[in-house]
Amino acid sequence: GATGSSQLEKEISTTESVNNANEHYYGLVNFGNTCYCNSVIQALFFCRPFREKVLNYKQTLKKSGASKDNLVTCLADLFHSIASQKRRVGTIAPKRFITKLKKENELFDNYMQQDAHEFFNYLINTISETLIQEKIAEREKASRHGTLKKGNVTVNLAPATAGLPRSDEKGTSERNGGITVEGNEFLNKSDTTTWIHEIFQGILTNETRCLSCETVSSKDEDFLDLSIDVEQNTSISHCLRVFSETETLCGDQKYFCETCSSKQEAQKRMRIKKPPQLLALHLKRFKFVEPLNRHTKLSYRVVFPLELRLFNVSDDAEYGDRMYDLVATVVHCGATPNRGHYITLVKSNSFWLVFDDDIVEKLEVSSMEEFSGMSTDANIQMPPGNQSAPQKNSESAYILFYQARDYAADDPNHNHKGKNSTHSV
Amino acid sequence: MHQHMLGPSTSLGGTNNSALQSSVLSEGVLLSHSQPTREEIKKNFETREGVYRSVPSAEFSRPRPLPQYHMPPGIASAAASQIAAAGSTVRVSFLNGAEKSVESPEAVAPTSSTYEHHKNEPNGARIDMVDEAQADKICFNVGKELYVFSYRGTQTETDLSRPIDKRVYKGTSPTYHAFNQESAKNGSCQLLIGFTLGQLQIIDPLEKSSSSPFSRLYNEDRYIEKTSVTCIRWLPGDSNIFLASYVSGNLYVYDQRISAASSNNNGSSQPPPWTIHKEGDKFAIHTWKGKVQRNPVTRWQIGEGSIHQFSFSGSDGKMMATVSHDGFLRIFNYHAQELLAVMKSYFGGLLTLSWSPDAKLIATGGEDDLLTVYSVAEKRVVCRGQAHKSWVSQVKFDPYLCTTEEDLENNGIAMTSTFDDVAKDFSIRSGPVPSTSADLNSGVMNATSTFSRCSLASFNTINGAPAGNSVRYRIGSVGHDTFLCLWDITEDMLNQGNIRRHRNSTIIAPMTTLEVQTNSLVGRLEDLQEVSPGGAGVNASSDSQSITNNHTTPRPEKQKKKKFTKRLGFSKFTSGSSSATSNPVGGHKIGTLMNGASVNSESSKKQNPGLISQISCCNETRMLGSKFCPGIRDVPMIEPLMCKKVSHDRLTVLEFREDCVVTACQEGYICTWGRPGRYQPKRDCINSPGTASPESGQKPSGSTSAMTSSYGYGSDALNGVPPSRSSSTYSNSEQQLRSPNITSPSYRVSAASTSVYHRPTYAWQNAN
Repeated sequence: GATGSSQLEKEISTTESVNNANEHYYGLVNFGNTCYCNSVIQALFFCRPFREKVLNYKQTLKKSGASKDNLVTCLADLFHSIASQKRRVGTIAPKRFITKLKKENELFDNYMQQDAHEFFNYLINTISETLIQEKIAEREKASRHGTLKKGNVTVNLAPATAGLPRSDEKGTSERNGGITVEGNEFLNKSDTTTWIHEIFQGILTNETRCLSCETVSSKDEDFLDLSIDVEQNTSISHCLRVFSETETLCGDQKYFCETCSSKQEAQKRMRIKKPPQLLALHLKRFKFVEPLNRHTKLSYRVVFPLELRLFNVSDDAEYGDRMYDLVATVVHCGATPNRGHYITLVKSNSFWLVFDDDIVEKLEVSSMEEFSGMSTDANIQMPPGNQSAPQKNSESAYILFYQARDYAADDPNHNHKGKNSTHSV
Repeated sequence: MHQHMLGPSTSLGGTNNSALQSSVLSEGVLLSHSQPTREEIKKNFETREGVYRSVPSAEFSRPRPLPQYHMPPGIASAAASQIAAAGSTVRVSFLNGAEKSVESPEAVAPTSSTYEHHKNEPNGARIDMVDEAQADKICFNVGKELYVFSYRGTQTETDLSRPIDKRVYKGTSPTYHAFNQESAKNGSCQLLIGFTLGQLQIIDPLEKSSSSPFSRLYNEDRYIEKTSVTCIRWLPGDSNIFLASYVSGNLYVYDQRISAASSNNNGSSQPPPWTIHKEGDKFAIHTWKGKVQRNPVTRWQIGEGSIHQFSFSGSDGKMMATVSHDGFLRIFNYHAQELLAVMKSYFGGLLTLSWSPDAKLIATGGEDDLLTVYSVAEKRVVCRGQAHKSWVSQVKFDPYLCTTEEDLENNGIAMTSTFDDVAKDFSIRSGPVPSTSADLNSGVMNATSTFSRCSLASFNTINGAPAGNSVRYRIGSVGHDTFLCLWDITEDMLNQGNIRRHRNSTIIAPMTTLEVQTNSLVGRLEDLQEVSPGGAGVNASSDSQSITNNHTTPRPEKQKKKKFTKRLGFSKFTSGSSSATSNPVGGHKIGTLMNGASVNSESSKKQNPGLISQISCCNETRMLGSKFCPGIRDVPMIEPLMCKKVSHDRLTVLEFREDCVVTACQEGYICTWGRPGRYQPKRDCINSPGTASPESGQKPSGSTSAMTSSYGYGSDALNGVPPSRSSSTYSNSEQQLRSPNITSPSYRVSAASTSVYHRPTYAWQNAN
């Protein structure tokens, strides 16, 4: 309520350095089980590159004078209304966005609890689709006028990728890409790369070695986020290493080797070849248990550092050792997937905040570890009367957003160090 | 703008992406099926030197059954234990009791044969109640509770219902504690405790008679500091000075001789008026301006965020090292108040550190799941170790299994000269010094320890292992992953010239099937280095340096990269850490540059502190590849000697003691692991050839001590023989503890619980 937000206002004004007094912390009203949506929106709002692109989108739209009504514009309007508030803290009702979301996708058109990760995927894919369609429309318009703007599109080509031969079937088109500027191919490339890809997209390389002929083939795949298996009492870096562990394909999993022209046993592993600028890690905490015929939640304790480097990068990875900073975390609270709640932890300037729908509170960095999950399974067998205690402990990180530090350094608005005022007493 | 990759034929619509998602998913499932997820908890583990066995009789926990406990109404016991587990970290501290008779003849002339003898030593020796006062003491905290018990290593027969002291606090929980080893004497000692709300308390758990229990409080009203205590230490060599570090990044120095209450005397609720005494790169030292001495005497502000642990260097205590949330290890000259060196974690906060017994090395552990060994003298990272599956919560050098250069020099003496000479040599070496109870190396124990080292060294030779005449360090680490790892750092790892070799010989080879291929990499590495100046085989590491240094410059295309990867073929799977060597020259250059920068900042900081923070800020982003934070391939990555799951819950404590290793986990279980030959399970366990025979179990104690007398580990407590306490080492220990006149007004006896606990329940008046 009002007293809570004024309390927060006081707190942030005492801790904040002067040059970053521009941030707005607005809780989002829950329209009946919409915390899955609120939590992801808050996390994305505090992923600065994403926010700026969304706000930018609104501005360009305004300039062009076009009036559109899609999910992206709704999101842009929501972001804009938060960012342009007079007061630093408060609550806002994302009504238009929710209405649009429910209209666009029937999956979300109910009052049931949804999966925050599914919503995240849907949102960024919808945005990129929308942007691609707009690009294509613009290109058609432009080519009709015969004024193809080359500059706009070539800037998106990554020099390291271009001309780098790939062994996969997509490689043919890739090799030509960026060098030949020829009709459709060129346009496809630029059209399908949006700022969503700029921000979230990384490349996995899938290396397979046939155990019979020793031929190694590698195949690259793009990703916008990584879904990671979790284990009890581990760290996110360990889970990522397990993700990239070598596995042997045998039995009915055998691999078709093109050199041998037959199915062979093989070793394969998948490592990160290009770490994205914003690394979204989805912890697979909802596991389908066949005997129960339903999903259960793995509340395993998986610790996540505020700083991260990847161990599971391929040898030829670029930016392989780039440093990431945790900027936002979507947390699932509750013991089961279907009931429960989502909240978001967000780093803004030098401090952390919890966004719990319309409630915003400051969070001590030292208590971040409490959102790692439960270290023992003991309380699953707890008598029903004691639900309160374990309930609290089952608050566990579900989606982690790590932003590359080198990227943040380019961003004049983002003070990634942020904390250097500590000693200027 | 930044380069970014274009997806091949990217129709990155929802469908395409979800297809990728599901493929990722199925692989994950496949993985988890192929591996057993649950690993059983080990009751013993084997290393080079033998088998360590869990000692069931020496297991501590909060007394059971739980319902005995008077928990706050409405919370059932199970839930309460959950709360405890979620609360402050479980810690263990020891008070080394009566002097372990340095002059006892047992310690002389250790030979390997006596080691064998020792295996037949009877276990379960009778423990006299008279011995109680002389026994070591163990203190641990679980949730809001604090316990003190007698401790006899592998000979411990725990009666959980009979603690020496137990306390339950209200509103605040103990987070760290340390016995004042130097002031301890028969029947009294000082136990310093830090709390979640920032208070500090000194109690005497041994004092039984007094009606007003000894207790002294610091920061009682929380005016000094409001955050949680993270670590406390007594200053080595001074039984009056203690230090406490906090989540806020402050570290306070207290002097017992100054009245505890004086900080509140001005009656104001304002924080004390500190003035800057000294300032450096990311640290500042504050003192009082006034003439009247007040507690705390000094405040150090170090780094950014919580100081997770700090520790004084081995025998002389001249240096103090801290590890912080900001990922930095900082090494100070404590008395000169100067920053000597810094090191940065690979990523994330550093949680723990330990000095080697000779103070030449520091081991750290933290949120990068790595063990990092840092050479204090050479100011460089020696190696990293990767084995833990989660954060490393505690690292410790095992002083009994470290062979330092000094040991090697002294070894000759030990073998040829009389005991007295050695003892003298010792008192010179370890000086009048230091025994922080948290660090096991008390001056006295050091003496014993070297003998054991000697014995182990010779033991090694007998067994054909590398001879005992080379430097070797043993490090243990425990983590949030519930695993205990042991690591050996050998002389050739320490030798900087050998790094290259090590890259190819000691790197982790996760796929054993491919291990053979590692050697073949040597040639390739050479090739690569020759090529790299030409730019063709530019490697990842040096690339990233150029990126971080100048990331706006568009990078040249590297067409040959792919080719080279192909050439390496699958061997790169094995060689994770070796195939792309960074250019060592480049790394050093940066290191030197960095040094220059920090020197500059040292000199210019007084004029422009703002500039400094800017410089150090820049430093940090460019740090990778420098000596402060070498790239992952710039230093050897070592494998542990041993890595075992020893607990259900995350481990928080690791202590090496003379006859055992002690671990503790967040659930509040403290386990003792008998060192090889120092503990045999009771007769019904017949799983090892060296099991004690019934006869040996009934041997009169006289013959037992005779048998052990020639054994290096010799300990009196072990055989139930009251040790003679004529050593002069502790002669100055009586001065303290004579001021019990502090009546603590903030302590309020809670009548309800007096019947349950030996001591009343205390509450902090200002707790909130």
